[in-house]
Amino acid sequence: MSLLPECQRGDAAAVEALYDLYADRLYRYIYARISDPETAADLTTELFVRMIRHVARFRINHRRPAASFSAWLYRIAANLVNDHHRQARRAPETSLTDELRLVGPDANPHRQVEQRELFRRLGQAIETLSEEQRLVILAKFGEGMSNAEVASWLGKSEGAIKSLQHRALQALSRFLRMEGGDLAGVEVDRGTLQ
Amino acid sequence: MKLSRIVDDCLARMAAGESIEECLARYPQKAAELAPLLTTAARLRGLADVRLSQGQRLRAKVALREALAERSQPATPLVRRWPRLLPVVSALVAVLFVVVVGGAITVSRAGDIAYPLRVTIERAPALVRFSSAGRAAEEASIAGRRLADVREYLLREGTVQPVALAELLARDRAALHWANQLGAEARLSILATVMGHAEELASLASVAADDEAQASLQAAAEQLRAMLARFIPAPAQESTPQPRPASPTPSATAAPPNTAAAVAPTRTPVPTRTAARAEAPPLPAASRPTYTPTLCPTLDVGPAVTPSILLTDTDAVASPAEIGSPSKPTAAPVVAPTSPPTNEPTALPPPSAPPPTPTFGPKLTLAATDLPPEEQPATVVAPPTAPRTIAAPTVYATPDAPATPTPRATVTPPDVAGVSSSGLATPPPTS
Repeated sequence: MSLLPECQRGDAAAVEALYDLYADRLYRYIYARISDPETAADLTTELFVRMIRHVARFRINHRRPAASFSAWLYRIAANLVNDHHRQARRAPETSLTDELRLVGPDANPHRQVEQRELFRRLGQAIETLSEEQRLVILAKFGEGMSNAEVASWLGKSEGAIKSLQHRALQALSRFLRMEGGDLAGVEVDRGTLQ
Repeated sequence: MKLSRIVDDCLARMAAGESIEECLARYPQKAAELAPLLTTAARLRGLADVRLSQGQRLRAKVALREALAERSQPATPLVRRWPRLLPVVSALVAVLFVVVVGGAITVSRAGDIAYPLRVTIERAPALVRFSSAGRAAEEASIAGRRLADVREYLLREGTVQPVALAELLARDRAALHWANQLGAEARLSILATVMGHAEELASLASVAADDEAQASLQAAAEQLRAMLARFIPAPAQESTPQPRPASPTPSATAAPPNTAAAVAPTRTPVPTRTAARAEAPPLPAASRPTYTPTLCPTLDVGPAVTPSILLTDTDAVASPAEIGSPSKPTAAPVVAPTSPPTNEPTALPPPSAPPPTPTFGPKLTLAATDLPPEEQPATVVAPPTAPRTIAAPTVYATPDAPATPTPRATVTPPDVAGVSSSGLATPPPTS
């Protein structure tokens, strides 16, 4: 967390280093919640712009400096996603670019549509979780963090993390079953996610 | 083993490369519960490969540099925050303005810059009174406040505050206007209020040290009295059995009614003299006083006197200020008709001599019973009537009014009354 004081002073290199450190995980968090890669990327950029504007006023928790800073970033991300959902509810629209993305010039457009449908429904399911469950799931399955790392990050015990993980998986499973779609046959094609 | 631990163990094995089926085979008794959870977890594994593309990263870093450059630009905080602060500052300024100006108007006194505003604002309640009674009462109340302002300013500065005085007259005029639409009782109340204002103005004039202030106050009092005189209707409509005056012209020539008693007296003014009158200096012969009717709202006329007409001996050519001066004679001869007056005048005053403007000079509500025994008329033939009302008979008496040759039943000591048989007032005795 030696980057943080330099970032607070406005050092461009420190800001870019922080971006490289946190951008993907925050992008995943946003993407998991809004299921639109382009919008998720824009919101991730906006997130770091807000960080630059307000980082000078951020007071770090010296006992858990990294955890407190990333928790702050996730709070910004959560606010951005909530704002996005509010705006989407006010003016629901399906842009032409969204449609083109779904049926873009991919070698296997059918496969691409399936993958996007999978992540759209996963995103909806993740939205039903509590914030703690969501962070555990994203940390474990998105970041590949161990229980100990997640526990340290969230300031909880490993047992609590296992319990949160179990309840989150149950909730997701129930949601996906209730949705009626059996995604068992859909294989996650990692190459089509980008 | 708790299911959460089994799930965690399976997830770790899957991360190490085991398949879902192998994990389920390790926990066959929990397989039914584990299967959907592990399937869901397998789908979530795809999240790990969700990453920003290189192009998205580059675009983001350009945006971050711009944000950094914008942040590092020197700008005074106030200037940067001004657009956001503008509505708040405007609201604060507006509130402050209202508080300061409102306070200044509220506490303003006559003569202050904000006083005309206060006068205007205080008129507002009257505008929302939709009944004539309420409007008249409110106007009279406002006039009372202006009178208080006049008094306060006079005591403070020794002069008259023109705005307050003008507003007082305007509000009293409005009160009389609205009172005109009221019943007798409510109208009397307003009349009494306005009359009180006139009297207080006159009394203020008497204590004003400044001549100009004295004249202004006296003129204002006269204006109010004139307004009252115009406002008061003819008394015939009153329900009291008082005899109705024959005409607004001097009734000294009123003919006796044919149906009257054999005596058939005319309504002859019987002026009396009071002590104040006796103390007053004699008037020059050229300015012999004339009688002008006095509208007297007070009802304290002696019970033995029936329709008595209060006349004041104001000088016909005297200025209102002189009329109101306490140094002037204050006698108000009481004209006591000795017989019921007729409605038909037998003579009118000469057209060249218009009736004098009714004034409200110093009045005396003297009655025959108030006089010393030796000065009381010997015989007063008059029917008892109800107490006088404000709509007393109006009688004009002018020096030119000829005496009627009709017989009189009233014996009036001319030397006491100071009025000749023709109804003209004579100067009081110099002794």
